[in-house]
Amino acid sequence: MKFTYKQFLLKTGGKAFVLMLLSLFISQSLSAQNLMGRVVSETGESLIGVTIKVKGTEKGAITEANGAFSLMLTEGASSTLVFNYVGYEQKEVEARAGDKMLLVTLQPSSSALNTVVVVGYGTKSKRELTGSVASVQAKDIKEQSVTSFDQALVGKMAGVQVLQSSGAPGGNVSIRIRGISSISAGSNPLFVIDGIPVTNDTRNAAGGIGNFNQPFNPLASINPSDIESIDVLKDAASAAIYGSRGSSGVILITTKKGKSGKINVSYDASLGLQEVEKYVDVLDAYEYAQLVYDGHNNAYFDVNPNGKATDPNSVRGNNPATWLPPQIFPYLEGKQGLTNTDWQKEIFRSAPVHNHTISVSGGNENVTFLFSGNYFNQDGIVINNNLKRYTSRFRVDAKYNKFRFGANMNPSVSNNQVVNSEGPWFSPNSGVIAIALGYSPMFPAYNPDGTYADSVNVWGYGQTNQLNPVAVANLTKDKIQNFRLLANTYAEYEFIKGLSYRLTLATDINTFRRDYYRPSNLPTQGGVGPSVSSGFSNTDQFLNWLTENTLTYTKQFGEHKIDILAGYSAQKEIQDRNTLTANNFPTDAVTTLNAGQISSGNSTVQEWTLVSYLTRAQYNYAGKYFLSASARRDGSSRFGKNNKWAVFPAVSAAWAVSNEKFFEKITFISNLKLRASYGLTGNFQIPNYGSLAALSNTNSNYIFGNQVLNNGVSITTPANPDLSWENTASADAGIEIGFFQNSLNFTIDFYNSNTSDLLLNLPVASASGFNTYLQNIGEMNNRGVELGLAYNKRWGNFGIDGNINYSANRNKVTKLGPSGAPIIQTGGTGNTYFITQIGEEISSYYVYNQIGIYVDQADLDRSAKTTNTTKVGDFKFEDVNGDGKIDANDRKILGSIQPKYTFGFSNTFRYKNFDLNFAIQGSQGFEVMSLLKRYIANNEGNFNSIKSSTNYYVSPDNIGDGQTNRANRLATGGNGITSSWHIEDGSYVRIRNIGLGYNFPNSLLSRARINAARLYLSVQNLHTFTKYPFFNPEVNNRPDNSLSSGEDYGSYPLPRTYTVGLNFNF
Amino acid sequence: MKNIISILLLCMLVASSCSKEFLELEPQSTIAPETFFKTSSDAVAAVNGCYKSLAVGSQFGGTFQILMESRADNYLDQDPSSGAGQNYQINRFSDSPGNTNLYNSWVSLYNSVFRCNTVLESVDPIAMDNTLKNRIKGEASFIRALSYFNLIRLWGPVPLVSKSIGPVEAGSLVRDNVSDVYALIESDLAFAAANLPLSYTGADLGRVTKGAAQGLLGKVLIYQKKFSNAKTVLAEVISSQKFSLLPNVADVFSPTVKYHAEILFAVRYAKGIAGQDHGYWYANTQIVGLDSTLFKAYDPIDTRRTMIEFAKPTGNNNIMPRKFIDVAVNNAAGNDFPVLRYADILLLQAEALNEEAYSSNTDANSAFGYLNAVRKRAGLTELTGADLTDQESFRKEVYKQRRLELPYECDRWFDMVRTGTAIEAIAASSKNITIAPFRFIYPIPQQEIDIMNNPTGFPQNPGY
Repeated sequence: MKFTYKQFLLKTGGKAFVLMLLSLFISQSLSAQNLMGRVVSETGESLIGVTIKVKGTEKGAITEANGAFSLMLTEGASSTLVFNYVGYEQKEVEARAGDKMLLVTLQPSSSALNTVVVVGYGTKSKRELTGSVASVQAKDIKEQSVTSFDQALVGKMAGVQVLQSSGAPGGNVSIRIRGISSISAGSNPLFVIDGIPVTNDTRNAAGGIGNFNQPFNPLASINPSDIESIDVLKDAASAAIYGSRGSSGVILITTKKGKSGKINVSYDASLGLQEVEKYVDVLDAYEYAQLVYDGHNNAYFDVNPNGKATDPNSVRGNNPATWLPPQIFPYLEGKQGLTNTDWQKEIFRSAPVHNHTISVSGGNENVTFLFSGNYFNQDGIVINNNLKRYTSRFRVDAKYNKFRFGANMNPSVSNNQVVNSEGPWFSPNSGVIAIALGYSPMFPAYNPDGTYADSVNVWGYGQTNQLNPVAVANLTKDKIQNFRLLANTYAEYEFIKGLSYRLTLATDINTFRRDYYRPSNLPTQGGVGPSVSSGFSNTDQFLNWLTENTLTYTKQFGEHKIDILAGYSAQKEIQDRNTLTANNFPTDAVTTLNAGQISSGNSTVQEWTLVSYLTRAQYNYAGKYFLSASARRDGSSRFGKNNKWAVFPAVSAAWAVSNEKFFEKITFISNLKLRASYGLTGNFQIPNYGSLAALSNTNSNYIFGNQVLNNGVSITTPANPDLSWENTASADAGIEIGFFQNSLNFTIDFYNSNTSDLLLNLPVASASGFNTYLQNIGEMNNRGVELGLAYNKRWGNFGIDGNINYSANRNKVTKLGPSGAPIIQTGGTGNTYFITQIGEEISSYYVYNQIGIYVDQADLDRSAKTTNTTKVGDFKFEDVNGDGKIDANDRKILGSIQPKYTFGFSNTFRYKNFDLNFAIQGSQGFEVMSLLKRYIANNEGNFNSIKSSTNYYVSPDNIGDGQTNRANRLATGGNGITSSWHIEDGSYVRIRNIGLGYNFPNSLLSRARINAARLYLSVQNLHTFTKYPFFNPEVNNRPDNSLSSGEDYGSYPLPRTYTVGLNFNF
Repeated sequence: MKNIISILLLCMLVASSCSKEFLELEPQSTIAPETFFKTSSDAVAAVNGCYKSLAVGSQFGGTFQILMESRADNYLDQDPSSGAGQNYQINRFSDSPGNTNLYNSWVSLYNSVFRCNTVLESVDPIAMDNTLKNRIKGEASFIRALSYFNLIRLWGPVPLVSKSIGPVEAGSLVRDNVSDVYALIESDLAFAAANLPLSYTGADLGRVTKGAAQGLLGKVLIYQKKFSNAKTVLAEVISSQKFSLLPNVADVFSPTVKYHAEILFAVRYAKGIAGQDHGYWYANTQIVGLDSTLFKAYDPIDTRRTMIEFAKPTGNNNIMPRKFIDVAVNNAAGNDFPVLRYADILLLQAEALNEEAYSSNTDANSAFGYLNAVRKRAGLTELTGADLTDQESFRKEVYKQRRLELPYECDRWFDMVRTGTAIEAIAASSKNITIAPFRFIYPIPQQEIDIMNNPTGFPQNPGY
């Protein structure tokens, strides 16, 4: 063993300076030991990397292969050995020199009370926490088939709602901690990776075509298996140490570091197969032909009430919508063997996902290191969609006398082959999923010669032109490349025992490049034959740097323990963006922009800065009473001259009742802790120069003279020098109870948080020249309850552990603007309104309430109607104000995307070397604005339709289900107006993951010189129980716009993934 | 130990002392308005921005064609589904206040007003040549007047904003009387006419001239039936001799020769220059948008008839009225949109003279003279008192010639409304519907009604 490190160094060539560092510290001799032993787990597995300290001395050791260790003890006297291992209870064992076969068994830390929790600028044991912090360890999220770690957090923590609105590789994930705390500043939590707060602005990077692009997931560049733990600061008192960035919560990500001991090489490989979880039930070609027939005939009868269904097109007038497309006749006659394309099958596929991680770690007591490399390759379940990611990490931590220092570098490269799958069918968005649902099944995907058919574009007869979705997906080239370097170094010096100074320097460099090309052989929507090819190339670069100075002082005297922190940090981000577009490429063979005619170019620079002073003091008496107080003062370039600075204080306290003398008799309760906290946090996620008026040439240059472009300017944003932070004041109270030696732990948290000075890009009277204006106006309240239950129990070879969480949040707007007038925002199309109104949830749907159809003429005559021509069989709406007509005053609040409650349930059974786990997760009591129904449930016959909407009104004798409008190609009445007809219940329960694992027994492995090996099988997203008719109820067209959230205009389904995985430790 | 702490504290102090500079970042890619408006070229750039506001897609770049022309009897939209049917609903009079065409144009028109107000306020303090200063103010006044003229013709009473106003303050505006808005339009145009040159040369070609201001003023007066005042100001335009009818009507719309004697004011575009082109107007791949009743209204020998027929440009699948055909570059066209041209002026003057008093005089400067100038250029016979025997028949002929001369030029719908012929004409068109008079003006965009939230001061138009 002695030469292991040197051999390693020789093999790697000793090039890297970090390796030189390593060799500096490898000086320890391991000769002449008089105590030998072995450390195993409760199941008899060897534990490698357990640290052993001889109490009262500086001596120590670390277990190596097979859990073996050796030590030099003082002869004669008995020594106390202290064993420490992450995830296991600390254990003290008496030992004497000369013992050669000491066997120590460690028990897993049942209550997790000793688990170290990262709390921002420091760590605490869970026992000492005074705030509300949720934690997830690597073992809780591993073996799920996910692209990024945030997807693995779904349903794992109470109060942390992880919304995966897109199933695309690298697609958007939104995290909402304790509800939506902001209206138009971002509601995304702050991510802190190894102490470095990273920017959320990269969500807007690599913009593409159309307004329906989902944001980029900045966390997709991080390899989930590099993560050791994730801690979420939920209450304001915990998050307040991050001041102006804390109001949406803080997610602290800690990456793995090397452990001292023998070099550990681990290799993880998994192979998954993904498929679409469900297909939407749409009409086949024969059924669709009937809908087209009915729709066009009824349009004709509206024009000519004496018309007959048998009238030829020649007598039907000049509107093609009243004609019958001849393509439908063979289908109506029931001829067999005609084209009957299932477009969903054409664009979805079974797609593999590969994931390989190799990591090498090790070290001694002075230096530890970890190197990991990951290759990840995921094909999307939509054709031609792929994400490849290469990440590596090098981390070294060292100490020398009173110095500690280290570096952590994490370069990553990802290549994302994007297919524009989300959003509506129409150009320029052309979301292939929405198209596939609505495309006529009477047309083929391919021509007989193998080229893409362009059938719907030419079929005429008042039918809607759409592009062949297969052609859109396969012919468009759209690639996003992301290079990221996340790196930090630190140096720490301990002046006297307990007093340390730490300097951290960090950088996060993100470069995105998006290259898009739309070839000439893909027609334009409604166009025929070759189109004008077009392309763009965008580059976004984010350079973020941080310096951080902290002083910490920890002192224990008697029963008193204090921790004091003081710090100063400065952070700056520079955002550079270039865009270039070109058209008219002479050939589709060369698609880089040099080949086309450059039509526009643009480059911009933006910056933001943040300066902070922070301090925190924590006091603990006898492990019973805990007090913490903190304050952070932040100044940012983003805010107005008059409001540059703000202070964010917080206090919290906890009482460990179970540590009191009087509690000793109550034995079945092993832990009882009461917590309370109060704090202020802010939100700085607003535009970089939001407070300043801007004058620019946007839409201002103009042509004079001989076609000469003249400079023009105009004020594009009005100034608001008072623009300031959003403030969130939040109180939290919690109880933690552990029963039966903490094998059953129950946590309950209540919180109440008020956000004031809401940043609102408020719609304003357009007569001012602007239609929105960023102001600090309004207040909002979020309150809720979170319950957590964790348990684990072992009976011999059988064990069970798991946790259940439940959270309910109520959001209420309490104040808006000077007049208190509601904010009404228009969504993805006209007539789709969202209201944000005092006393209600933010962004409630605000549309007509459809209450059936006009079943007969008498019903039509006596009921309220819109001003449109209305016929029997059209939608009937509730006349909310009872004035006998249907107009804007009859809009009504009809739900929102915010769930009444969410829950998660994870459980693992263990038997000998087997384990079986499952995770169920759900969200109940929310609604989705399914704008897709505007097309695929409109009964006009111009789009294919979902089956459920075809039980429509036919005649007074056959009114269908009494809810569904008659077929009519020319919509009458309010059939085309967005109403409750488009709102669907989104409640769901999802079997998120089921996994079966097998750990190969040691007896088998030791012969192969393998320390551990594991084989597992899992299924991700096995099934979703929901009434929601489309792919994923957890959709959101505009995840970053809180004022109009909850639209489904076509969404990328979450894949169901079957995975087989293997991991080895050598 | 103590030293180290004091050094650290010093470090922090140093760091904080420069934090003021660190935190006050000036934007690098935009200009701060406070530091602008110092030189005459700043003023010119700002007024250029006013012109550009007319060219955007929500005005003459696209939406006006829907609101001002598709609404009328010249265009038949048969595509109820594209764009959520919003264009179709305008065409078929089933539009609701939520129609996004309405909101987009409303916002854009007030943005034009805002840009003009900014220029009018910011130019005064600049030390610069007075003639240029007044010219710039005249240009801004004209554009403001044109924007308000469009606003009241589309919506009736609208808030009158003649100074730049804060977004919050604007929330308490009310809808002002149409007559108050007309008063500002008239004074703006009078100011423009008094301060603008008769013509430009070289790099300034395309700017607003005195004649354009007078011509628009004449039109504005006729809308108010102030025929006598209109007659006077239009006579000045005609007698300035800066304008004439081109012999060949097709040349009026030439995408290549853009500055000519018939154009008083056009919104300028250029293809191949990013942001300066526009999508085809009235274009469609499937359905001819031409209302057959318009086609039938022409005499077969009328040279204008071919201009409204739908045809394809070279290398494109779209069909559109021939007067707006241009060969696309980068899938977009670069022809100008004529806002005011001499044929319009002549017909307006003919109308004004006839409304004052019918006369069978056929002199060049008579009502018949102006009407015949337009007819003659179109290849039609000249009319006399024998053909149009009284004021009413002359009036009808002027209205008819306006329809035949100016179709698709964002004039027809307003003409139908102001002349009281809308109900009859829509019923006679291929749309064949009877419209209610409340539809003469559009509903105020629902978004604006919601924001103002003031049913007494800022009500919705009746009927909607």
